[in-house]
Amino acid sequence: MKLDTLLRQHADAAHQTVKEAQPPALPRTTHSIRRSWPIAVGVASATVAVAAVGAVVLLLAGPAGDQAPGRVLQFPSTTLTSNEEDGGVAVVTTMAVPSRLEPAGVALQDAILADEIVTQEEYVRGIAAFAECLTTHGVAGVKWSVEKDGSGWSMEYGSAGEPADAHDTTYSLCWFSYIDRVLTSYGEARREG
Amino acid sequence: MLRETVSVASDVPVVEGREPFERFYGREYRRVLALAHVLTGNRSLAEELTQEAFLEAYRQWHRLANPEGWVRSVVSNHARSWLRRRYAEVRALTRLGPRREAGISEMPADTAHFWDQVRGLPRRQAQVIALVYLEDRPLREVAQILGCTESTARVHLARGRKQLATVLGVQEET
Repeated sequence: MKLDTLLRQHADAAHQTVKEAQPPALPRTTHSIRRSWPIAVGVASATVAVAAVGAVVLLLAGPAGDQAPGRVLQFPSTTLTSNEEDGGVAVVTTMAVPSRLEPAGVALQDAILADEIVTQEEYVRGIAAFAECLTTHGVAGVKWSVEKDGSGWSMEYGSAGEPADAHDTTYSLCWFSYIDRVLTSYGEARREG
Repeated sequence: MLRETVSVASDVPVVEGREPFERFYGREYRRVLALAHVLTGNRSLAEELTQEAFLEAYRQWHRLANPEGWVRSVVSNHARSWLRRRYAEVRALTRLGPRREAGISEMPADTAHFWDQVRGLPRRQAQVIALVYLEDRPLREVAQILGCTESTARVHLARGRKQLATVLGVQEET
């Protein structure tokens, strides 16, 4: 057997392994937020942003418990779909992602992951950036703290809940998405030991 | 636990004078996936790596002069780096879309063994062999993808072929 024969033969075989593979849907979704508690309908968007802050507490503290079935956050140009599998609701808006937000999040993310480890300092920095973003974009009185104890880290947020428009809320939600990703990564890293 | 998802959609970027990203993605996905598959030897990792490469291409669509080469460069250069060790962890932060099954079928045992041997070569040699024989690309393009000169790529190919023939116990000459 000659080498070129083998190369061609196994190149063809490798192509066969992806013959049935379908390209995943295009990445039209650029931010995704998971919450563990419902959002009341009809509240001011500022309250929604505050609720997003509170979600971090709930996220770390565990499920919110037996709260009433969730309603949904409404943006302009929003479509809603129910997820029968987990009882959640998907909200998709055509509102553009603020151009300066995603690069900022990516830059911070790159810094955090430069050494492939999410350290406590980096994690705190991410939380601080999120809090600063909320404060900058219409949600006043945000405070935060992160502590490490024997069982892990804890944090709390508070907000005076001053008014913020939908655009500002989008900023906040985008940042929450970022923090959510950090939390997920950190959780996986801890589980992996 | 009640879960709610809020998604903010954005339009697929369109660059004047260039084909839409969607068309590029549909045309190139399987070929890049095959490249990732042989260079990683892992179906799940290959799909994650391929998706990340295309997602990054999507983000930078308006800046990429050679998207075809660029995504292959990303896949080639990341297949054997920290991605292999830490990809599952990093993925949690960088993944922006829903997960799905790989859709890659398992390689026949002899083919898997063959590409194992290719991956056992020095990194550049393995990359050149995959790009030349799997992708059927001329050395000029391979050199562009890997960021080296054509003559360097030729040396890697020659050395890789020689070593591969030795470990496989086959004749090297064409």
